[in-house]
Amino acid sequence: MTEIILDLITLIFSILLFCIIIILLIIYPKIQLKKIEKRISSLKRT
Amino acid sequence: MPKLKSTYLLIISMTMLLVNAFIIFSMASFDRMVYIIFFYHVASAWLSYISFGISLICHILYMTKKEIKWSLHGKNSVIIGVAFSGFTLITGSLWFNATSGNYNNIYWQWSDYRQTMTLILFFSFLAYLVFGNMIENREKKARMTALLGIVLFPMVPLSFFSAIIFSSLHPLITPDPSQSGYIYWDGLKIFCLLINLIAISIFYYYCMQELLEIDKAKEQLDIIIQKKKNEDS
Repeated sequence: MTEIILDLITLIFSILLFCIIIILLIIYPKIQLKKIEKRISSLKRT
Repeated sequence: MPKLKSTYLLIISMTMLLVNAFIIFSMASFDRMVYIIFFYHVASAWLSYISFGISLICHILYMTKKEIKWSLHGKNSVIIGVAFSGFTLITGSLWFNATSGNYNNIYWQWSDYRQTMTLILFFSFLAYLVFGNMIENREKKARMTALLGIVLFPMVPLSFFSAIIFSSLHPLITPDPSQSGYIYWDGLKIFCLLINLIAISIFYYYCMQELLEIDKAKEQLDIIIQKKKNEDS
């Protein structure tokens, strides 16, 4: 019984970690791009 | 137009991963539930090896053609490779803890060549990224990172073949039930694994496109900053 629960915890943790990595790889470029675009637009204004 | 194309790639890869997860959880039968980790562990290990392999090709192309875009492609490929090799290491040690001693808190075995070599591979390419960020000059950065990328690449085949050449507790998959010492997987499980590999490879291509957009924006920013400097002086 304990093994089944521990298996489930390990599996959920691994899949959550996988999702986090995927989400980070999707979000990171978008955030970086927005930051750079903001800087470009502020530089252009000045 | 390219932005729309990359969004399609993301949708396709995510749909494939989700549908495949549904198939894995509902149809495939396992002795233990924890075996499902394998689908994600193998897929991310595959992607990290492919990423480092593509970065090697890009670095060689930079060294021969001296075009900065190849260096940028190489660096972007390493970013993805490091992320997925980190995930491979974590799930590998979780798997080890679950299967070797049945949760006796044994996560790491230094004598296991595959585990140790993958850890060295992860830190080597992490150091590559840190080293690249430390150099300001664009040309120098491209040259040095290309050199480092080529020098570090032998870590990839060493990590991959270590489980086959040296003694390792790392299991290998086979569709042949008569082969001893391997994990026997039926056709459905291998098919699910293949779908995960394809989906994650499409995701890799999407990430490469997105990371390239950052590099293009950075280039534009550098030009504007340079113009400003010239105007001020």
